[in-house]
Formats: sequence, C-alpha cells, structure tokens
Amino acid sequence: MADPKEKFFRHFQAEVTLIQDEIDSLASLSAVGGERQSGIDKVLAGISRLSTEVMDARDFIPSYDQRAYSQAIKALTEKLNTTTGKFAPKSRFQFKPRKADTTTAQPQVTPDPRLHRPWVGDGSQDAEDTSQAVIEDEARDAVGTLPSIPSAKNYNEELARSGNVGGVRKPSFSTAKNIEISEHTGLHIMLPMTASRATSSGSLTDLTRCIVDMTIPTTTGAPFAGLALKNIKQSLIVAGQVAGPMHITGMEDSVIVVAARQVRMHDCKNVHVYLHCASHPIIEDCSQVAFAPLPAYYTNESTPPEKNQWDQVDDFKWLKATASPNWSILAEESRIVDDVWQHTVCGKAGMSSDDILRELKILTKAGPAFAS
Amino acid sequence: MLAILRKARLKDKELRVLMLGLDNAGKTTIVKKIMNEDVNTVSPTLGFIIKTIEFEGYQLNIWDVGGQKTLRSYWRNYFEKTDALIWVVDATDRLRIDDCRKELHELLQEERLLGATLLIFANKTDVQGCMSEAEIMQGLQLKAIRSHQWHVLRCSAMTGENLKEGLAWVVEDAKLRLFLY
Repeated sequence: MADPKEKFFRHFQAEVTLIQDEIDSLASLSAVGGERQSGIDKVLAGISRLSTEVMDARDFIPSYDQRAYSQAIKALTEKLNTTTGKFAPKSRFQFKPRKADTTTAQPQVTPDPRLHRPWVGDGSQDAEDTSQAVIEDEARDAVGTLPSIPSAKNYNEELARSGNVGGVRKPSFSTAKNIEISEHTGLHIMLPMTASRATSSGSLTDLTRCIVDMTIPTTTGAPFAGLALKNIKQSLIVAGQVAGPMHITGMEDSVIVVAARQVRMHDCKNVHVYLHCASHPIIEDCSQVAFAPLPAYYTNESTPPEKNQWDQVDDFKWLKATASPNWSILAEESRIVDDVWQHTVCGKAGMSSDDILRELKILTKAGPAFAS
Repeated sequence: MLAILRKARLKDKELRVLMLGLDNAGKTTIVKKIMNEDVNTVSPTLGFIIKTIEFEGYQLNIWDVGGQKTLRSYWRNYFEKTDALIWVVDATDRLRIDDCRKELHELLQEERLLGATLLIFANKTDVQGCMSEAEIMQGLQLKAIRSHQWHVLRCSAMTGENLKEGLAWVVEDAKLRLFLY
C-alpha cells in the first residue's frame, strides 16, 4: 500500500480537478428547470465532502499540508462564487431567499447556498476558521439524526420543514445510499442532480397531494435499479428512469410517468400511467387503470432501446380471452400534452402544488376524483 | 419406500428444482441468466415456466412459478417430487421482507417438501444499499428453520454472480443425501 499521505494527496488532486470541471461546465447548464441549481448543489456538496475528508485526514497529514489543502478548497469556493456571480441576475428571479436560520441549520439542503454558506465568500478567513465552520456543520448535521450512521440522514424531515410553503423542495441526497421519500402531504419535490450518486433502489411511500419529479437525476445521471411506490393518493409521480423493475402498491387517483424494464401494479384504482416498458406491464387487484405511451417530452436518448410494450398489459385477475375491464388505453384527447409537462409540471411561478394538480385534473374543485 | 423411489429416479441423474419467491424477486431473470438468454425483456410470469439445465452431468428441471399473489395459491400444485427448493429473495425490498418471511415459513410446513434441500438466493445484491446477509437471515428468521437443510447465497441475476455456485450447492447437497453411487 502507498503511504496514506501520498494516497490522500492523489485522491485530493483528482477530486479538485473533478470539481473544477464541474464548475466550468455550470455555464453550459440550463438555468430553467433547476438544472444549473442542481449543478451548483453538486459542486457545493463536493466541496463540503472534500473539506470533511481533509478534517478526517488530520491525523496523518502534517499541519503545513493541511493549510495547503484548506487553501485549495478556499480557491474552489471562490471560483464557484465568481462563476455563480455571473449567473446572479437570472437566478434572482427563480426563488425567494430562504430564511437565514433554516439555511444555516441545514447547509446541505439550502436551495441558494452561495449566499449563506458560513465559509463562502470571506477571503479573510484562515484555515482554522474553515475547519471550525466544518465542525459546526457536522455538529448541526448530527442533530436529529443517528450520529454514527452517515447514510441515515433524515431528509424526509428536512423535506417537511425546509423552505416556504408551496415552494419546490430540492432535497440533497449526496449522503444517501437509497432514496426513500415517505409521509408527505401537499409537497412539490424535485430531485436534484446530486441524487444521481445514489445509484440504488428507491421507494416512495405514503404520499398525498404531492408532485415528485425524479427526471433529472435518473435520466442524466444513474437510473434507479428498482423503484417501489406504496400508498400514494392524488399525486403526480414523474419517476424518470428505472433500469429494473417498478413495483406499485395501493395507488389511487394519481398519475405516474415512468420508463422501466418491468412494471407491476397492485391494489390500484383510478390511475393514469404514461409508460415506456420493455416487458409486459401487469396489474393485479386493480381497477380503472389507463395506460398511455411515455410523452415525447420525457423521451430522450437514455430511454431504453427495447420496444415499448406499454399497451401489452396482463391482468392477473382476468385470465379470460376477452379484454379485461380493469384497464384501458387512455384516449388521446384525454392525455396530458407536452406543453403542460414542459411548462406546468416543472413548477410555474406562483402555482402551488395543489394548483398544478388541479390543472392536471388530479385534484378538482369539487373533490379529489379526476375524470377517468 | 419413498427414499428408494427417489434414489431410483436419481440414477438418471435428474433433479427436480422448484423455484419460488415473492413477485419481483427475480426468479425468471435468474433462470434466463443461467441459460444465457436476454434478461432485459423479462415479463412478470403469468403461470409457470419449465427449463431444463444441464449442469455438471446432471439434468436439472427447473420449475419457475410466478410469485404474484394470485398465483401463490397454485404453488401447492408443484410440490410433488421436488428434490430442491430455491427460494428467491429481493435483497433490496425491505418493505416486503415480512411478507417474504411469512410465505417462506408457510411453505416449509408443507409435508410434500420435507425431503427437499433449501437454497435461499438473496438476489439483486449488485444494487448498492441492499440488505446484508445478516439482515436477510434476521428478516426471514432463517435460524428458526429446523425442518430443512438450508444455505443462503448472495447473487445477482443481472451480473450472473453466484448463480452457478448456487446450482453447484444444490447438486452437491442432493448427491450427498440422495445418490446411490
């Protein structure tokens, strides 16, 4: 084995190069749809991880090396600030600044972190100050979570408390191994690019009147290996891409958009499914399920090459030769059009998640049921 | 008497393997992978599939029965003359590990399966953050199984990891217990 100092140095160099490249590529990312913000989130997460690693490596790194590492990290933050400074006039219109206390308490989820990052933008801070700030971050991060298990970060709690009411939540999943979102009502959640590092299975459970959009991390990053949805009512789930099976249980009065290898639906009622499926989708104990092909807006080069079998549905509760009464093909005139996917679902200024759900006819003024 | 019959059949070097587990465990994908078939277009099994695999000079007749709830009540139709039972678990499915345990333990009560070897395939272990072997042993209460010889193996139907090793264990165990020569 190489000397740990050597090894760390090489690792650090590689990481710095990577982050620099990411900062350079920020300008080419689109400012709408949260892509650039996701990029910035990713860079910030990278910088923060790197400083933690330097802290951890303190035991075997001489102090003058530590100072060099701190300075390199500071340079990265400055570079990021300069780069994002150029975008500032545009991004000012995107989101209202969040309350300072929420952002400092949870730096990882800050939607606009460059304004509030404790050690960002102050060139006069020396290495000790930087380390101090990182320690504080860690200490605060540990509050309310299990200290010894980094992957157990409770972002469901963060989702519930962060941000303004009606705003779009963009949780950070940089420390997560699995994506598990559960027990929310009336939220609009967009998974950022950082979530794509969690290349594993996901689950969404117990959601009501929510919009969850996982397109960005799963189509440009790594798709889920598998995705489970359970107990979801009156919601819109844009699940992006699943490289394996999708397992849906107990979904009602909802719309789902997904490209997956397999789809199984159980105990579902009144659900519209916009689908790209490489095998026969199946339903069991379902009723009023309507299928449509994946909208053109969500189809791209990462959509699986296999033939789309969205309409080859097998009903395990209907083994007769005649057509199953439990599912149908969604009539073309009833399908949500690309314009709505593009402009409404991504979050329109001044629209709450309920407004969007109403426009998609998932919620109606009279009540929850949508025309089927 | 039953043992003699069984041994007589094993002279032909033929084993009947029953593959069961919850829906979405990956049973069909495992079989397809072993057969070197395309695993990207596997549809959920509506009924059952029989495949014959030649393995180390033995002929394994694998009965892959669908795991959907509707089909589980038909599993009993396939118990007769089973030499080995392969129970497939989705190692990423923490939400249904309890269902999985209940179905497995119910199955093991079955008299017609008493003589069968039990291999537990913890599938999808190529996925990050899946359950560890200890978690699966705990989740399925494997230590409480007294009726069968059992063995757990982590595997992946996507990468093919440990699939052949699993079959090798099945054959080896059958040889020790059932073979004449």
